[in-house]
Amino acid sequence: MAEKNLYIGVDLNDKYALLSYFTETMTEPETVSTIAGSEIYQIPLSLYKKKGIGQWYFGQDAKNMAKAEGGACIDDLYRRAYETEKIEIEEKFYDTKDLLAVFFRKILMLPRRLTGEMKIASLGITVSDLNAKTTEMLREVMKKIGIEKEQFFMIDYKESFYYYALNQDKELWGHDVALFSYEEESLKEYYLHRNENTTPQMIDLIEEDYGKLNGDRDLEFTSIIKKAFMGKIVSSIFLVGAGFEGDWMKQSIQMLCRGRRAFLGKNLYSKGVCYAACVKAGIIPWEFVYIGDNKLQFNVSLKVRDGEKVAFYSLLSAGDSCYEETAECEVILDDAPRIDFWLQYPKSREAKIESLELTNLPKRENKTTRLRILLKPLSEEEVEVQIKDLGFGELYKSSDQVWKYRLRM
Amino acid sequence: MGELILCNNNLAAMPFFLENVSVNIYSLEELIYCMKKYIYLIGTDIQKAEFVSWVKQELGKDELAEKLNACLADKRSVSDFADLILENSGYCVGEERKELKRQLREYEKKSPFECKIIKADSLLLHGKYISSIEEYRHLLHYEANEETNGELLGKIWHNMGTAYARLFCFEEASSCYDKAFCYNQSPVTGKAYQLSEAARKKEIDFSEERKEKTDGNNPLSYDIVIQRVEEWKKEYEKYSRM
Repeated sequence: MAEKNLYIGVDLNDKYALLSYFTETMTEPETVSTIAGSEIYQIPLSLYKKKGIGQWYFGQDAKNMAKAEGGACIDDLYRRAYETEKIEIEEKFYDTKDLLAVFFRKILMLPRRLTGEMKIASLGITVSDLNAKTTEMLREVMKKIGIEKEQFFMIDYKESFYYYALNQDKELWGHDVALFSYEEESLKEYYLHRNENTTPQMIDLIEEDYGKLNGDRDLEFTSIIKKAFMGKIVSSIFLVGAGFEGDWMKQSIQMLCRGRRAFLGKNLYSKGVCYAACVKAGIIPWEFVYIGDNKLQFNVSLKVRDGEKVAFYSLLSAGDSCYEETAECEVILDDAPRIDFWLQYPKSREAKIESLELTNLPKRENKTTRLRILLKPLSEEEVEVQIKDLGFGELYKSSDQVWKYRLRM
Repeated sequence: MGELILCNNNLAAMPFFLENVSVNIYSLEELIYCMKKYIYLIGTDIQKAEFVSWVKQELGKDELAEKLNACLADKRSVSDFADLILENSGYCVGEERKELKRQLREYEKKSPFECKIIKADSLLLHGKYISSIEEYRHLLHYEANEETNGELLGKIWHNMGTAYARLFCFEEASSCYDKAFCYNQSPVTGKAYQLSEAARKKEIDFSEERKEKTDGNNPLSYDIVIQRVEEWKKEYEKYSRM
């Protein structure tokens, strides 16, 4: 019997992890609850090693076992792995990345207890802010647990919201969609707008940080809503974060629900990244494109002969992660020792051509120089290119020359 | 105008050896380059199961390997086999591809004996002298065959002589030219015989050419030798291939 595919999304923050999963027999992702039948989705980022043996407990179980044995529970695993701490347990030092890997190994078993043995087709992790260090650290952790580079990706909360919102019923995103996140000291808004005139539809996501709500939160939030939605048509609003707990919202709820649907949820981001895993795997059709933060802002292609036809070969696309994507191809030079890269913003009709001369390339018969081209985004607006001369097999030896350039719009 | 040809396959870790031209190839592009250059020599090297297996395992081109296997099973021609490879790459397209296919088709219409002559001549043309001598020797075994005639035998002996001469084996070269002249009475063969005899008798001294260093005590004679070598080379270029 063929192994079925499992798509997993994990929301990772300083204190908790939330895990949602999807299989092709389901209608929407479900979030793993630590207590069956409840909506307690947060899994504390904690580990505890039982004394004297190699058995690890995670989440709330880790806290409980630590209390029972009078031992020290290791909390804040994500933050500590980010800071590359080393932790001593029973006179042995552990790298916190290894401990975070143990934690992940444990939580990735949770959906499989419910669905049966399934292969992880795609695993997405979402964090509030993505940067090169986070990406590198999580990639290392995934490698430790045998998750291949192709199976795994990372996005930020804004992008999770984008995938979540546009996977809801169409009436909820017929017009614009908003999300308010209220955690501890800060109220943030993500405002999603679709451009229906492009194909695929370009999505704009504007972020607004309102800081801390002081004084009368209900009044202040009402005022924020009024100002944020002035002159706009919003189909639905999502509220996430512990800050919305309690029943302090009176006028603000009325303002929110005026001609719109409003939802309060805890697991929006983990479901969002789970939807992203499905979209990227191609099991959910997708007619949108969002170029977020930490994403390359322009397309990079080459004009090549492919078989009998001349075509543009896409190397990097706008929206590719600056931290994860690399591109590689091999070409044979026909005539001039020069490579033309075509750079284009997705919304623009015009392209910029960056011509790179291959200086000191050995003179050879025409069509006997094979080149390997490697591209890596350095930032949203810059791409590093490396071109290596491979010669032409035994017929023309490689000069081993490498040319490096940077492409910018 | 400058263009880039996209390579749709990775380089092979293990090369495939083209026996007739003594070249290891690592990609379809290198193969097509050899096909264009050594058009009559490649067919027997690639139209076999080992090559198809290499395409599948080393290049990862399962679909192409399947088509090539079907071509082998149906015993189709070299030109059809080659065209399957050409269509899988942008290395040789349009008129160039049509011309290559046309030349292969023309070659297929020839008799086995004619094909062997073309092969031997190609080997000579591309500097594979020892291989060309072996091929000419095989051809001479067809002496009793009705396809052979005096003119053809004369050509075979003459070209074999040229191959020997290019290897500086002037005694063998003279002998071959002598036999060739018996068949064809060609002035070209006669001239080539005279030159090889002169070289054999060391009337043209190639010892300086063979040495890696010049003789500092006798620069004048070295210059004369080099000049005679160059002249001799031009003579051979002019008369050597029939």
